[in-house]
Amino acid sequence: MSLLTLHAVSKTFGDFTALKDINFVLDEGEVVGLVGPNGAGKSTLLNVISGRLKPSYGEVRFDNVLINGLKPQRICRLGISRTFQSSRLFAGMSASDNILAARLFGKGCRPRITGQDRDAARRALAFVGMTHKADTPAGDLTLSEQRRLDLARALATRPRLLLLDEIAAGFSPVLVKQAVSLVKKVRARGVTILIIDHFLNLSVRVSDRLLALDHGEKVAAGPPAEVLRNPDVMRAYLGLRHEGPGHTSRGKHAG
Amino acid sequence: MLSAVVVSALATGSFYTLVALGFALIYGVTRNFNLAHGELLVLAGYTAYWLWKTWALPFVFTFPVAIVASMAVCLALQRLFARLSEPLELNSIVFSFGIAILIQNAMRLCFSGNYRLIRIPTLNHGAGFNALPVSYGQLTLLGLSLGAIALLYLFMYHTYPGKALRATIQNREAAALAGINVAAMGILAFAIGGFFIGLAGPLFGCIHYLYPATGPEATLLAVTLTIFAGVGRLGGIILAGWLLALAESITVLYIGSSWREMIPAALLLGLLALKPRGIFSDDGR
Amino acid sequence: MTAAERPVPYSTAPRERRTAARGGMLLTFVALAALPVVSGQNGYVLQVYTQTLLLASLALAWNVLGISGAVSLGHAAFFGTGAYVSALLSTIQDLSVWITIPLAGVFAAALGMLAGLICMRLRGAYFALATLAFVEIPRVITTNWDNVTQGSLGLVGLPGLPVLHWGDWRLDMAASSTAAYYFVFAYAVMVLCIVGIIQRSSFGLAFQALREEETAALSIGIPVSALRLLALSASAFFAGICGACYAHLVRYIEPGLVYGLYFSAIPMVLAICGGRFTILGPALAALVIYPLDQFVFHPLLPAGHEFLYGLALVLTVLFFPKGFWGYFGRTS
Ligand SMILES: Nc1ncnc2c1ncn2[C@@H]1O[C@H](COP(=O)(O)OP(=O)(O)OP(=O)(O)O)[C@@H](O)[C@H]1O
Ligand SMILES: [Mg+2]
Repeated sequence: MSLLTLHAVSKTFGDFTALKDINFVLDEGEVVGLVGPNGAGKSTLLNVISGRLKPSYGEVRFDNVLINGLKPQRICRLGISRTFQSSRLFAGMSASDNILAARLFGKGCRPRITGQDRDAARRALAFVGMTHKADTPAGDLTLSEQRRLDLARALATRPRLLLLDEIAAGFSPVLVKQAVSLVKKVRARGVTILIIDHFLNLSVRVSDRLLALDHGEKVAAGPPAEVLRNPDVMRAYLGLRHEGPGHTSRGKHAG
Repeated sequence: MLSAVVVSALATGSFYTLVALGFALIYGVTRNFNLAHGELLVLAGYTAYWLWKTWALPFVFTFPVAIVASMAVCLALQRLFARLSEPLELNSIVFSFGIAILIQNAMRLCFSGNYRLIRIPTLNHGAGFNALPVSYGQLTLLGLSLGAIALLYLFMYHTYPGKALRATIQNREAAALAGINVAAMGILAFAIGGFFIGLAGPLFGCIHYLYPATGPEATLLAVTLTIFAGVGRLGGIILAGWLLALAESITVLYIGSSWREMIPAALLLGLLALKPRGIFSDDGR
Repeated sequence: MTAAERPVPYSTAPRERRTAARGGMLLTFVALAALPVVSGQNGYVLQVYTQTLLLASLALAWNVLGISGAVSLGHAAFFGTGAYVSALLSTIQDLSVWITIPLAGVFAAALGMLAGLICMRLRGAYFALATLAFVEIPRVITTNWDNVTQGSLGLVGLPGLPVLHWGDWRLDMAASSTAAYYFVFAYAVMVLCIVGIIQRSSFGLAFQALREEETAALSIGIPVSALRLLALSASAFFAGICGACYAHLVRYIEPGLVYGLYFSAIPMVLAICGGRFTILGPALAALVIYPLDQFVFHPLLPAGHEFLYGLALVLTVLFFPKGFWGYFGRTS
């Protein structure tokens, strides 16, 4: 069952083409890694799907409904939510209020804050292992805590499709491991996930498929091992020529 | 008839330009909206009035004093503006609004609420260009505003500090990276802004009545022209001034003089509503 | 339950502070309620405090918008429109003041909606500048529509505040300044309660979210534009009612006054000095600053006493950007 369909999606900023003719289908329950070098257009694609940007051309369908051109809050209501590459938490609000806001407005607007909502916020914090930070202002959290809170906030809107933008960038191996298990936990809830992962440290371990972009174009798509072996991907993305697949991701450097 | 309207609009527009220049420059360089602009201008006008009335100083000689005084006040204010935190544009608006209230009440205390006018009869005399009905006052305004723009242009394009100022207007961060002392540029901008305020103030006093509560009118004018012209486009300001004055004359002619006051406000609203990002890029969230 | 899930030990300091704040609030409330009795027959004191409470309501009304992060420099547009609508309807249409006051709010809210639609895409400084310009529009229209509004001459001899009936019991608020005081007091308390309820509902959370990070607020489904519009028209509604009350209290209005800088500046100054992201701050600032102005500075400096507002604003922006209550009251 396809959940998200991108058909000939293009995005230009003035003369600059950030996305060019992207076709891709994301199935329900899948975890897909969106990879590519800096400036490949990964975040732009995410912005197009989540409604922050309008595609210049093409169609984005979610659950067979055309969603390009809809406002971000409408798209969120339909069941797509996202995290941000650089922190966009509500810095002055406590961690639990960050989640509460998402829960109350993610599906319609509910004026009353009930005990149930507070419980749910607490559970969401527990899910990302941050119960002890419930009352800390989001701006005072560490990088990894902020990323986890961002994830919890996105989940609180109860999405069917979750878009994660570089959620493990700059993480130490230990933190990456945590992130991997967290993503697996989210997946176990039946949420479909699209992960942007520039450094490949996360997506290769959790994704069913990879979608590789370069200069705004799709260069490869398929199972991780296959995509990583793709010479175009290696050339464009890894900047390597003839080395074997997946070496970078395992931290081994060939030659 | 038509030529008279055009001439007077050009003169009025030139006056508006002189009123707006200081504001535009300070905003362009420092991103501070100085809503006390009108009050500073009126204060300069009062200085000139006081010198002219009680000391019987010839009007021309009131300018240097007014200029020096308002440069001093602007430099003092700059120290305070420099302490504001982000978001700079909004905080500067709120802060300078407070300064405006302060100055307005100080003027009420010192000069009372009465209307004052610096009467210079010769300025109203016709300069006598055959058919063209131009007065000396109108010629002065035209000459002064063009002169001020030309001077500013020469400064900005042909001197090192001027070029640095221009770079700062275009991009503060890049200018700072290029080794330009952005803080010093702020001081310079306030000094030059003060110069233009001191130049426009006495003129305000002889064209418009002086009274403590008239500052916001001048401020609104300055804001409108600055937004109209776009950041740092100093040449655009004189054009904007003329267009605004022409729009006002047309309104007075065809709709009625009582609707004139609405023109700058309506223009500003229209500009902000239709081109909020075209003219300024406030999208930096 | 894991160790990490144990309830956090709650520090007692905020709780003590909250108790102190509650006590202070209660004391203030009682003092204000008892004021007419305490001040005896001193009409001037009562008059000043009636005006104080009116300005407190206006500042609270301003802050209905202020809480969403927007700064308006043109609330006189709504205040003045409310004053004129109620004045005209009660004199020309001969409607009861009971009806014209809420209607004034409705008209002002409609104007607020219009302003909101015009300024839809503006944020921060540009929104503030737009409101500065916006106030000119109702002012010039009112001035020029002189066959109805008497233009810049203003309207005199307006009906006073309404008479309250309760069976045989009659309370003439136009005749009794004590009654008028309680009327305005009740309105101020009402606005305060409404602001408090909004703030503690999910909408309060949404306003805080959208002023802190609009992009993220949109991405979690908060209808940002609709909420901004709602905040502006609700704010205009309450400000319009303040204007109407003013018209019937003072019984004389003119465009230069009710659309003037004073009524744009006052609510902004009070709200920012009190703390624009707090519930109580604006009202507290009114209670402190306006009586200070009237009882201390006005006698000293009859001509320039309003410098106080400028000074308060400048000091707040420079030294207490969160405002008085934002600093010393509840910090969150
Ligand atoms: N609003 C914009 N206006 C103009 N150009 C833009 C805009 N947003 C992105 N771009 C350009 O589009 C290209 C793709 O940007 P994008 O953020 O999608 O890259 P990315 O793949 O996410 O890279 P990174 O790994 O650095 O996050 C970049 O060259 C960027 O400069
Ligand atoms: Mg990116």
